[in-house]
Amino acid sequence: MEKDITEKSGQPLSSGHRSGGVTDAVWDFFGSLKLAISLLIFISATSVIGTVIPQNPDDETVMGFIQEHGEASYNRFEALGFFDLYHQWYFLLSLALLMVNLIVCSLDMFPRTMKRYKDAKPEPDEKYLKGMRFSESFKIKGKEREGFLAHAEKILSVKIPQGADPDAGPVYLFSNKGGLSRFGVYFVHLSIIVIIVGSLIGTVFGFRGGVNIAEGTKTDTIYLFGQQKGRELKLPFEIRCDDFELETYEGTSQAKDFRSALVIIEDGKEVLSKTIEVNDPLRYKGITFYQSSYGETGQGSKLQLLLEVSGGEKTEIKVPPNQMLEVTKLGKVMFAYSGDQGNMGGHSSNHFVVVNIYKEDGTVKQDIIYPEKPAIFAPPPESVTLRLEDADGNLIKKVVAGFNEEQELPGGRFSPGGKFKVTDYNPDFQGMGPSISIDIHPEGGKSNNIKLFKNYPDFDRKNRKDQKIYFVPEEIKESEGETITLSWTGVDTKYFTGLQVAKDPGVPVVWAGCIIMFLGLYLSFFSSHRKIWVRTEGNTVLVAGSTHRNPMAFESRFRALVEKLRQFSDDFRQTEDQ
Amino acid sequence: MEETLLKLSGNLLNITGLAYLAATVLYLVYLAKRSDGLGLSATIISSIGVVLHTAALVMRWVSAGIDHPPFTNLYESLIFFGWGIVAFYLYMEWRYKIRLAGAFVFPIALAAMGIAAMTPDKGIGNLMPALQSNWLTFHVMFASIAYAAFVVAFAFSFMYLIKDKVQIRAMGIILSGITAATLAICDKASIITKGKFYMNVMGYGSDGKLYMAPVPDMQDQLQVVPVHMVGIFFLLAFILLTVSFVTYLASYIGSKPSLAETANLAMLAGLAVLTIGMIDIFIGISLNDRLYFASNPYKLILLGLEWLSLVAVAIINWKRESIIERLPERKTLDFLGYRSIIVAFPLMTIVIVTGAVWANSAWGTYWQWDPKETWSLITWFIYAIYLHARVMAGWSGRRVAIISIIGFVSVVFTYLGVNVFLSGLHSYA
Repeated sequence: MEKDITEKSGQPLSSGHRSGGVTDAVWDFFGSLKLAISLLIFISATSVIGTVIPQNPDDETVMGFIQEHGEASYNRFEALGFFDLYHQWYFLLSLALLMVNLIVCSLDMFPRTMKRYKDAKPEPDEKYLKGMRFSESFKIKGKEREGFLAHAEKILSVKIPQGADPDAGPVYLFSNKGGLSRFGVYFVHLSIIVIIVGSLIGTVFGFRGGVNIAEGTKTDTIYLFGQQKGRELKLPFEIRCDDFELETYEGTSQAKDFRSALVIIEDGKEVLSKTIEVNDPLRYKGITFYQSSYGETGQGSKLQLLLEVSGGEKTEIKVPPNQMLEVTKLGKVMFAYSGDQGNMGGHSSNHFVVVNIYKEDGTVKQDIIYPEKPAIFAPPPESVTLRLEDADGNLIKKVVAGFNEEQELPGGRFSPGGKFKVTDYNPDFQGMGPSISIDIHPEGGKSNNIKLFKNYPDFDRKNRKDQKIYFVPEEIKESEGETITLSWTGVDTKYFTGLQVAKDPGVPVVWAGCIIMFLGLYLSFFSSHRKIWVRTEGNTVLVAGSTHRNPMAFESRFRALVEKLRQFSDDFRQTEDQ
Repeated sequence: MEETLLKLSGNLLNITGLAYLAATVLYLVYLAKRSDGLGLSATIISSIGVVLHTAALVMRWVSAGIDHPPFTNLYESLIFFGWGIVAFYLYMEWRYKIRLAGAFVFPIALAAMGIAAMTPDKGIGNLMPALQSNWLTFHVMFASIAYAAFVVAFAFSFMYLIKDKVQIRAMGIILSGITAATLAICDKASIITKGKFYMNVMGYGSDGKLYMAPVPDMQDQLQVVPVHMVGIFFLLAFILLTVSFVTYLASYIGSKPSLAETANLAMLAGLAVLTIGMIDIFIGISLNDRLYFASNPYKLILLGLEWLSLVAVAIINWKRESIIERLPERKTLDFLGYRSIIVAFPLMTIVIVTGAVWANSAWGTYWQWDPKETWSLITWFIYAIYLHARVMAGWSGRRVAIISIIGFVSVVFTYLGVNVFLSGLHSYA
């Protein structure tokens, strides 16, 4: 025998159609379920159109649309208002009608609900209680009765009515709980109205826009979205972005977090400062600034370098690339960045900075900084010992040359001869060890410049072919002086912060509506109007209960309650027997 | 430590998948054969599965860090969704002792796990800043459970219609219409106008992750390719399914029952060709090493679900009599569908509201008529209509079962369809 776990469907609450009169017909129409469902379907259908057709399209999107669907379609949709659907009269009208519908049908149903809420029978007769769906009776002994009634009072949390006399007639204990659950539906309907009103307040009295602020700059103007697209709005204060920070996930260029340090300036005074990030906006005078996006300005970004002098002081300097600068300890310098200046923070592989130091004597010292390899500028060496060798590796002569000191090239069978001088020294050129540069001026020939590496004596022989004279560095005597090391620690990218700016005085109203809705849903689905009667007459106890919804859950509670009541008798008898 | 946890989580998920597979088979056989032992073992195995599943989810969460919950990408959301379905179903089974529904609910849970298994990127991705919010946790958690409850409600409504002797055939025809429409709309009608089915090409970025082209540092910026001969099969399937749909309508309107038989045959033929097309997708993916399932997960999932539904309907139609006999009473099914929706509806409300709160703090507005937001509202409306039809108009039985199923179609569209056909703020999930 299958257990019947279903429940009866409820009686309709509406008062049904009234008789007579146009007003009544109109009232019925506006309060009808049919209207409600039709409105919901209409709102759904128009909303769907809004998801398929781009809303408030910018010029680019409009062009794209016309390209794909033709100008005729565009004009037709524009005339129908499809590009700004949610502000069209027919959409707003349907929302207004929904509100009316909710109010009318709620007013319609309310009296009946109230009646049922109040309609509590505290002392129904025996037959009534016995006929209920949940009803049980058992017997107790006379002397138990007083104790039993006290026990029942405790369990039900109600007291016997004043002056009730168990010997005179039946005594009732009546528990009436959860009546508020009958009104759940009104809370839900009210909440929808509140939410719609809140959204209207926001639309009428609020605005939404955005603005990009470059680091270090400020503004008081934002650009509006939506209906007033492109229109500027002047704020009653200024907002300045002092700093923008971007954190990426290690090894990638994916953003992990980005923050802006913002300051509000009103009447020349700084009134509020906050660092905002996504999901954590800044609020001032009803206007909220949300961290929405960011970008590189493409200009003003600086290279972050660490300048170290001979193992002593370290200074961090920020220098703009590709510009002639005066830098302490270096003099006239230009830092040439290898790639696109607007993307220095990127992770491309061709990523280096060429340092050009322009010396007073007209020469240029050059080195390259890679992210993992610093550039080193050492003082010129005191002297360099060079072996001049012939093509077969035999020593021609040994020269001890001072820095920038002109030396004679051997002539004779190594004609044409000429001059050479040591012009540059780098204690560690790109990890290959000490290197010197030599300017060679052959007699009557073209000058050229070569690099020699102390750790690779055969370098010149391998590098230049068919020469009469090859240079092999033997020793380099360093001089006292400062060695300057430049490492590349990062890029101080000049960002702009992308902010969304909104004012919506309707937001708290909407949240209030949501809370009311949750309350209404809870009352409607998870609680019910439960009545319990415990009637004692003589030695008979009759327990009955009713609920207006969800009998299954109620049933188990009811049975448990009866058990507890019965428990009293059993305990009493036990203590008696002892 | 985190890596071992993640690995362990993955292993547990594999075992869970197997457990659910076994449970699905057991429930299906239980539907066919009268044997309490089968039903009980199905429940036991699925319970073990869900416990392992829960452990796996917790481990995954711990290994990713407390502020990176395990439902922020497609893979995770599918795993979590599968968990929700099984957990909610087992709760309903325990409370109301209806085991036969398992045969209808578990294939969907299994499909979710199976699709997840096909996703190549099972790693723990990096969270975008917009997703780093506690409201995210609540929003997605409630969404998965709400969707799970809607799935169970759908199962009961579906069972109701079968028991109510609704023409299964009619359901198949409607499915044919929907599938044909999906095939027609795909990629701006590329299937029906060019006979080509496109998928996005993917490539590995320098950080080792899969990206849709253009990938940073990638040489070849090809964006979409037609996949093998899939387009031609799908075109043929589209023709057959449309023929089936139209013929059935004609048989209904023109009262020519003989046409219904033709319509049915056309549908089965269309299903067969569709199956070949789907197999060809796998062939195409294996032939081109820059195509992955993850290239177009939503499109493939949607097509897969439609295919699965057609197959299910075809099987049920074949074994109709015995299934009808085994199903519980109609009023039980009707009631259980109602109970499921009573749970799902408030949860859906919470989903919409938490989403609005999150949107407000991230983007400055609680409602933007974004496709996902709009369709979730439409879903909410449909189930609101369901509740009003029951309580106010006293409807029950077949009519509300149909509303419940329409609601479920809306749920599927909200979860997947929006991602396939419309784009918006939700494009990262």
